[in-house]
Amino acid sequence: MLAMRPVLFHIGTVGVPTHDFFVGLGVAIATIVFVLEARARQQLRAETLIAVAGALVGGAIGMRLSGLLPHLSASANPTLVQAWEFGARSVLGGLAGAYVGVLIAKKIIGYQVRTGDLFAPAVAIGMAVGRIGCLLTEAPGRPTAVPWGMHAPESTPLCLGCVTGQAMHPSFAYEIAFHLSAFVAIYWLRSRIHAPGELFTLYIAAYAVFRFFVEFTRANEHVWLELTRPQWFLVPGLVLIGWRLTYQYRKGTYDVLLGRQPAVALR
Amino acid sequence: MTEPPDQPPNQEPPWRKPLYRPGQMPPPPPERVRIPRRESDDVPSVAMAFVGMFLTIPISFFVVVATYEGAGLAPGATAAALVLALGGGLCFVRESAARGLGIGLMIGWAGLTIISGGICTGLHGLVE
Repeated sequence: MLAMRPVLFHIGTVGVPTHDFFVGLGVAIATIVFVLEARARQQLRAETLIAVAGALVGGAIGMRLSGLLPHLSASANPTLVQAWEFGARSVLGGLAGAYVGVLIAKKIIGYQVRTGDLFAPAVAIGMAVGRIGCLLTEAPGRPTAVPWGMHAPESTPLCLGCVTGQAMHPSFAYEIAFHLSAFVAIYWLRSRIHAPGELFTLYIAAYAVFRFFVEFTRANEHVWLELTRPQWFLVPGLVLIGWRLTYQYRKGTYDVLLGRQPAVALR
Repeated sequence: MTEPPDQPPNQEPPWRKPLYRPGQMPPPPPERVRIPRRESDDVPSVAMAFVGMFLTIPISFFVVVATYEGAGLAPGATAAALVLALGGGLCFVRESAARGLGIGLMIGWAGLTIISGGICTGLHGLVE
């Protein structure tokens, strides 16, 4: 049985929260990876850092505002102030806010260089590390009969499977494995995808698809048609991503990756 | 089909040649190569950005403690307004180090918010 650890260790009499520790560690590692990638691509300058500031500020605000509309019924939703004050900490809201934040920051300073390739490996490794905190503090997933199902103590918050003693999907372990694989894949794709910013698009597309399906193993509440809030949040995004990937495919952006011969111009 | 070039006459393979002739000193080892800083690296901005990230923590806590009058958003929101206004303003300064400091303050505020859930940064209400 996985032992939940709400407090990772103590510094004197002060307990260090496990979830916050791994989120902080993920942010720190992502920062290091970002700086190394920016140096390698000769993009370590003030404008790039402003894009980072936009990403983090937008991510922090998006993370909080994701708790604004949890219900279809408007009267059941919190007010803006309530969502701001005691709202959720959603990864999807944070990622969406970060993307908007980068666009706004770059627009303000007039910086037109694509920066997605710098963020892709950093976000992937940061998410992998941050999810360790979720694995050690949150409900693992839905009850399951698979051999690798895990148990968690009854004290785990919002975990019905823990109360009944059932084995549950280790959904956060699935996500950690995904992000680590994505991190490796990004480095493999670096020399094969040359369109600026396309690495980040591919990473986000892959995560959106993965997250939609892994939600079926998570312990989140079904809100409509047996889908959870994150899944409904992802539906319009998946449509846009599908359109974007199709457009880039027709442009030949993935020709080297797919082993296709580049199209020959007809006279 | 091309033919390989003819070997020069009376030439031993390279691996059979002695590295040094008798009595000859080996060349000195090369000087340690220092990786030159790329001209694209903005060191003052990056360095001050890291300073700004860490400065956010004491600034936020000081403002919250100084303005705390009970539960609610006010202390954290005051800290957030100060940090973001100062950081955002410095981002438009031409001087590289000052701009980096401003960027660091904003990054520090956002990082503290993400890690702590908004405690002391205006995105989570303080409790009694």
